[in-house]
Amino acid sequence: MTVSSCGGHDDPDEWVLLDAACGGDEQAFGLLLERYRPGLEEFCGLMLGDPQHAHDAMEEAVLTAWRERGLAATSPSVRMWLYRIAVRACAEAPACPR
Amino acid sequence: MNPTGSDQRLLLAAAQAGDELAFQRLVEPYRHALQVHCYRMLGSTQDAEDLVQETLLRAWRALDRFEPRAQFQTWLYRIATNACLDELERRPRRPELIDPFPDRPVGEAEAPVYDPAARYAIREGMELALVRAIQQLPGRQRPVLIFRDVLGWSAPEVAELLESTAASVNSALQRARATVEEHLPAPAPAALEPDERELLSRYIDAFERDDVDGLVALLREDAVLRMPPQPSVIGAQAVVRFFRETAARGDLSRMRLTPTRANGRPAVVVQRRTPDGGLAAHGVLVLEISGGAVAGIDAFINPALLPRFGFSGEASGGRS
Repeated sequence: MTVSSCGGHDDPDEWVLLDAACGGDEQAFGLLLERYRPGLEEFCGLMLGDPQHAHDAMEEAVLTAWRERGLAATSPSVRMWLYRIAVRACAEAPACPR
Repeated sequence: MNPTGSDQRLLLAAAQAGDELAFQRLVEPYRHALQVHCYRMLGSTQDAEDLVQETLLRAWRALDRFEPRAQFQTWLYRIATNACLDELERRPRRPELIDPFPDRPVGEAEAPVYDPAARYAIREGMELALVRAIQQLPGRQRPVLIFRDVLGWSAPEVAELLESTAASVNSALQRARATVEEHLPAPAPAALEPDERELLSRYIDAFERDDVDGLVALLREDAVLRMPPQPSVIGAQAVVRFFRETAARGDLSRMRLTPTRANGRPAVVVQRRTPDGGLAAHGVLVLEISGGAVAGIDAFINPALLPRFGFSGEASGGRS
């Protein structure tokens, strides 16, 4: 798996969705998120080891992603951007040691 | 496997409308995978069977909340995982037996911590032992280990994600692996207890001499042979018959057993004698001893396990 194969600036479809999401299109945002949701959920589950905490962190990550969608274009790829948010959400979860 | 086909969509719609038969047909293809998943979570075939029932019951009750666009399999797995976690919380702690691990590491120190099968299990649901071990890691090492060893990202990718360097990712990974390895279940007690050794050597001897009655006598009458995902064999007579007629094709001495310990329990490494006088890797049997007799046997028929115990993993070896 390499960076270029995982959806980035060269995946026009994603950036169209992201543009629409930035314009306030919640459905486009949802479509974008659905692509990564299983992987993000798995990541949160492993990080926090507890389904409830993982669920909460995931919710938090989704809210953050929606709030900060304007910053996504500064990341190398949508995938990288979403995982960074998930890493942050888990790090801030009450269950995670500092 | 996903209900994208029109048949499955119809079944789902019918099931959501309350058609129980349609529900049975809808979930049938997932039953086996769920059973394997629950077994991995619980380490017991019997509990796994119960939890598959519980999962399907919960799924049936929650079916009207299932969003047809979501993945049905993922949804079932999530329900099963939650049901298993509830079960684990409810029941008293029992030692887990996910996969036999030698008590003393054999072979090179560089052996990988996780085998591909374990990784696969994590993708399917979660391998409890590893999930617990991950929880021991400090905040920074945790995502590094998950991305590298579980999700399979490359070091540069993880470095980019964490806005770090590949070198620092690798050094965090080394520390994380050491910690995880420490916490993975590979109980330390080394030597066999004297009475265990005695029982084990009589057990091996009975195989060597193709002694059916002798072997039956070493097993408790209600002994269970577990070999998920296949159904268990119950009762000393039935277990020995299975060993002799099915596994050893009519002659117990065709199997060559070597004593060892795995997961804190007495165990035997099993090899098959080949017609040319060689030995072929077969698997590992982990014994559960109770009251001076064998009460349970967990069979792991997988030649690939043997190198962990210092044997060749070749399915068919040359002259020994």
